[in-house]
Amino acid sequence: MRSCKELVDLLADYLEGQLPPEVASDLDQHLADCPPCLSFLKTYRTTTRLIREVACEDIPPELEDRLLRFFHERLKRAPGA
Amino acid sequence: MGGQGEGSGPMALTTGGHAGDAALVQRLKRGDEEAFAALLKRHQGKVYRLAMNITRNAQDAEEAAQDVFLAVYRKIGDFDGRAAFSTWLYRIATNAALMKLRARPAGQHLSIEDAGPAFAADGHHARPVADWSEVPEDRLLAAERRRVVQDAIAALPPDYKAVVVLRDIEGLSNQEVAEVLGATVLAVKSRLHRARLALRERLATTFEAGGPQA
Repeated sequence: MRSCKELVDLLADYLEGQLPPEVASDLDQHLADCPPCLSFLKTYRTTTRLIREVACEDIPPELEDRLLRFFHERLKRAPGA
Repeated sequence: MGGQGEGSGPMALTTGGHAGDAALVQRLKRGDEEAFAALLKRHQGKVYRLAMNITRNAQDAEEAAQDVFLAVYRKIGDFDGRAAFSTWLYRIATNAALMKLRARPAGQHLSIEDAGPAFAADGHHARPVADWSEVPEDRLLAAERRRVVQDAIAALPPDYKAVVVLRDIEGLSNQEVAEVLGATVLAVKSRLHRARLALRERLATTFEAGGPQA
């Protein structure tokens, strides 16, 4: 029986399906018997989802224009700048 | 910019073709500034988003984007094509954003060493683990909850923040992140996992205490 610490150490690889089958199977069993680790796994997964959710949106259109203008002016002034 | 639809001047955009990065890079190496404009147009959104997610500061992100494309223009001769152009660009952009971040007065960073979960000597969790994972998928993040998550990410040490942004936000593979950062895949995986554990602990203290609903 693997420990909770081992499960946490291997969690990222487990969720990405990168563990050898016998190790993944041990962790499946551990999760079936260990509610705290199941909660840990679920909240770890929620953490990565929340990270994605607060990511910044796309570049504002006015900034796109400003960047293009910046380089337009810069290259016009000093080609090869 | 004025030249966008005019088809003239050094930065006039080629609106027709869909040449890939490699073809544009070859043209830029021969001094074709339209190719530079096309690369800028094609990648500026990605560069800005990356810089913004690392710095969380619009001015820093804009300046970083300028620095990145200036570096592309000046150093395209150094790009040997062994990695994808986008990997090279991510590398320059990540470094530019981290430089902006490091130029700020050092804030209080999470200590990654101490930030993970605690275990008893027998390997069991040392503290109860609450399940705060239930979040309706379609619900908009409350402003307060958003702030909590952003603050937690902001408190990560810069190197850990970069890995989280590249992997969890930009969606690069571990291998790609390793190429961007010049690190081993093993180091990337370790850094990412420790950063996520630190973030999870920090979020748990808020959400378990009945803070903004996860």
